[in-house]
Amino acid sequence: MTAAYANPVLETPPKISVSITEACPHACAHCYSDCSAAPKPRELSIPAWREVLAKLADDGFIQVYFEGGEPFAKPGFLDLLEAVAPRMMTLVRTRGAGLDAAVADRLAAIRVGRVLVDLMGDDAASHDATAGAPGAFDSACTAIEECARRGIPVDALVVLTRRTAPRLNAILRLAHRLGAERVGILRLYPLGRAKRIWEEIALPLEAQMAAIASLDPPDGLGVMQSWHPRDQNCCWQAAALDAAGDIIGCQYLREYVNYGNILERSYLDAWRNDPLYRRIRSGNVEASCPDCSATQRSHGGCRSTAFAFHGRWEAPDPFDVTLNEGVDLAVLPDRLR
Amino acid sequence: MTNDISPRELLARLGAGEPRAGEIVSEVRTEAALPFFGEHGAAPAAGINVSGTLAAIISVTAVLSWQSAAAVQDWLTDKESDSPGVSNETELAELVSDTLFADSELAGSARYLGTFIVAGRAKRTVRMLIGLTRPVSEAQYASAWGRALAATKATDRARFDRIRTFLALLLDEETVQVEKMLLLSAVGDLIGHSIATGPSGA
Amino acid sequence: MPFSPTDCVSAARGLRLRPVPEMGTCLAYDPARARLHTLNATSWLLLTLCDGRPRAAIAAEFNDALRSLPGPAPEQGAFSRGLEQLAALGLVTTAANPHASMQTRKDTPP
Repeated sequence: MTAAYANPVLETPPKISVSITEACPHACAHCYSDCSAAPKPRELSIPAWREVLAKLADDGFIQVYFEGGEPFAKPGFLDLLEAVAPRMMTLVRTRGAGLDAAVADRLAAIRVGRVLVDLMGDDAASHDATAGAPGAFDSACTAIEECARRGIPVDALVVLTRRTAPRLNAILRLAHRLGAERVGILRLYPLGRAKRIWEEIALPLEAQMAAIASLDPPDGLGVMQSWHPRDQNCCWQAAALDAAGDIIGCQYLREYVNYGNILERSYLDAWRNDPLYRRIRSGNVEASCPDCSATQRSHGGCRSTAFAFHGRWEAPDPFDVTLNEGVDLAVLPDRLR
Repeated sequence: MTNDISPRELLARLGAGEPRAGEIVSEVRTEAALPFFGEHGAAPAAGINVSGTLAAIISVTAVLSWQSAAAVQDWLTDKESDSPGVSNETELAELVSDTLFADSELAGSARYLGTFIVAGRAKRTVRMLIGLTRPVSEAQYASAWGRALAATKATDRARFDRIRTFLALLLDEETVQVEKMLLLSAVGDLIGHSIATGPSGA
Repeated sequence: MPFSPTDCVSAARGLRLRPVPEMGTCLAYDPARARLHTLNATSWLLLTLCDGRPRAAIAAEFNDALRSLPGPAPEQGAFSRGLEQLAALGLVTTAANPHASMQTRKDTPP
């Protein structure tokens, strides 16, 4: 019998994340989308995305978070951004590839809301080794600097792995020096290529908690992280489309759910009527951490990692120390191999 | 869209509050989530510490929006009271224990037990519990609140305003229910009269 | 930001409002500044009343609306505080009332 927990309820979602492409000039070791340099055949075109995003704005979406792949690698992406920005707050996540001074000028003119740049190390050797592309570190640093210089709010993002853990504070200092306002420290998800090297890069939970506890950000730099007691179940407000236009609820659910394609079904129809989507948003989980639910107003932690490690939608999130139940996060479940 | 609502309709639903507007910036910890709830105080420490036996519990229950439930929590943990470091909840507890039945034979018989959020599938139910160590009729309980609030208003207007704010959060809700739960085995008969004193003694 | 009672107050151009009643809020997107804001119901009402009328007229309708609601009203000065917040966020703009200016000139002693 499951406990009767409940997340906040939204009649319609106000924000969405869009994986605009699964093409990327980098070859990140842990790439969740298993990107390659060329786009995948099902990917929606820019004109199709224009129509989709206009409809989403009509349906009440007021913020869109673009990610990839590498958004700036998709021809026409800046034109799409320019068309969307008057109606929706825009955020773009990038590895920095192609975000040079000229593109930053264009982003400022478009009035992009925020740019988020992935850092995979605090120097070229460590970053480029994970990004699988020489020069990737320089691109990322340039992207942060050029955005900050133009007053575009910019954050850095870092995925917590065995590779980045010893460098976290150096990455925080680097991001601050380059002009980032905040650094988001993200958990490693068992998706895409990350699964193939899981044992090589995944940390046990105790080591993750120790890394978070050791954070010493420079004054003025914000840190975003979701470890206990800030483990959230944000599914209640999550909406997402993959590069083919498939409705997946959250980018981290990309390998587990598909509520239909946006060219065939409105987002609101999926939101309101898909039983699995409703179930995942509900927060009716088996166990809820009282500390995290007090700070986050949601229950059970991340549904993606809960499902990945347990195979049940209502399972506890093993990334939360109070809900871990002995799961070794450094070992990939057999189901995912 | 079902969120086609006017500000006046929303105000009618929630009540008027101090105007509040600010930038909302997505947090990217997993996806770009909107931090609707902002930074609220931590949940008050759970601690029911009651000496002696309770004869009855008064339950004030209201189904609230998440916004209002958050306002209740913020109020409880707020430390804007005159005594530094004393939370509003402590003030409320003092009012219940010290003032509610002051100057009557029932003095000291009430205890503030706490305010709880009840986990449910689709509702945010907030419940304030007050324990009574002696049998008290509904009329006695109601008039005690009237006297306690009037006394507080006369002696400490700021505290009165704070308590009134909290009570309004619960009592102004259409869904509010005030129930009296009697400890059936020890105290009352089926309609609430004291076993010890009978109908006239309640 | 100093206000005159005769100043005309308008919502900033291009704002997109998105009520989220479940959260007791209205989101306001300002594309000119690329910022997203959250307004509680009281601030949202105030913003919608800022349609170019003089500040005094907006204040009168705002206060009337709040008085008509059940429950305790915000403390005195809520209108001014709310307008200051909206102005600080760039969600409202003010302009001198041309009629008020003419009146002032006529009434000013030589």
